[in-house]
Amino acid sequence: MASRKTKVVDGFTAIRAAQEAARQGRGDPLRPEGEPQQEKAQPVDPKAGVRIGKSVMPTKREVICPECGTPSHITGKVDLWVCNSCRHRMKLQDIEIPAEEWEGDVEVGGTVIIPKGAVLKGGTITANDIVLQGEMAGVELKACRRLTIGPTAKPDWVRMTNLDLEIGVDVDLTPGKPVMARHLVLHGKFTGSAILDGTLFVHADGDYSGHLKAAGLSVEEGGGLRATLDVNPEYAPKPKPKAKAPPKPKPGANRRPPPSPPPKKT
Amino acid sequence: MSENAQGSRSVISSEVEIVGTVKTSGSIQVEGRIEGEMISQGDVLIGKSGSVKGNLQVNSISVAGTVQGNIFAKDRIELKSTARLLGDIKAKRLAVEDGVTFVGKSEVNPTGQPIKIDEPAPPAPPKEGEQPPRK
Repeated sequence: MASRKTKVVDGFTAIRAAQEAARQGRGDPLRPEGEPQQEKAQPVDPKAGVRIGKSVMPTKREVICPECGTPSHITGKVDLWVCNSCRHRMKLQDIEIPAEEWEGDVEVGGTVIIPKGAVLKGGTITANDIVLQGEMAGVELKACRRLTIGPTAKPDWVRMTNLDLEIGVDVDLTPGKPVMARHLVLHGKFTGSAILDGTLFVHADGDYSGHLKAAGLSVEEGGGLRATLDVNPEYAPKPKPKAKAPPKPKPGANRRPPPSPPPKKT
Repeated sequence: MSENAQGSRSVISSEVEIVGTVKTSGSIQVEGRIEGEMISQGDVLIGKSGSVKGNLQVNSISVAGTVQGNIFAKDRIELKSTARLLGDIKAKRLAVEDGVTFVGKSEVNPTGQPIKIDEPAPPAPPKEGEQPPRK
């Protein structure tokens, strides 16, 4: 019984003593005195219901088919998208190209980011939106919707296709050929010619120099505009007339014609 | 032409048509029709029904109607979405709403850099020994 005299308490005995003390209402001996006990969770009144202070609508985004150019509007999270018009399938994911020499083919319905330091040697990148901050060295870029050019980008104007073009802040761009696009959004500096189906947006930090033919023009105060302009809303492409639906069959058209009367006997 | 209660802005109403030069040291609102030059030390507002056929020299201008002529503004030019401008503009600041019709040249340089608009290159002169193209 020497072990008992040494007053060594093993873990099992300590836990059992604590449970016994709690059962007798003497508090938790493992917790020092003065420390507040944990409050019990208040039961929720089921009649009160849950009050929703603010509801958030799921994000809606436009995806344009790279095959047929048909725009679709998608709500919420979708992994795989199928074009309503041509049944073309595409993954709706965002991809960031590694910041190194790279070559390959990509086709996604999301955004492809080409970061600073990336050198794209070849292949084709097709995406709904493309953010270019790296160097194009043989790659072909096809932005179905918007192509954004960052300050460190080295674009190859011959190998780029886009619907809308956005020039980022601190970009000084001089394309060698006229830029053809729907909308051109300027946060940086652009020197050259542009032919737009849509609108040129010059933001307060933007500057446009050169020649412009567009359907619309919007200049924020502070933006620069030194150009020869031909802006007319009539240049906007007219919406295609909707295909006429086949005429509805008249009620009763599917009925069989009434049987002809039997020939009269002569 | 009439002045409003504050006496700060002259108004050319929609049934008025002026042929000749309009000069004012204050602000003016044009709802009618002017054929001729307009010189204003103040601010000019050309309303939706207003039209000016001639050059304008103003401090600042807001156009919602039609202008056939060049606008030179010391400070600011504002083109509303209903504006129709056939002419050149020169100003320190510019604000344009989408929907405007604008055919002409723009020289707006908020940063104050020298203004230089590249004209399309003229056709190169014929080389020696080369016959000029027949007309």
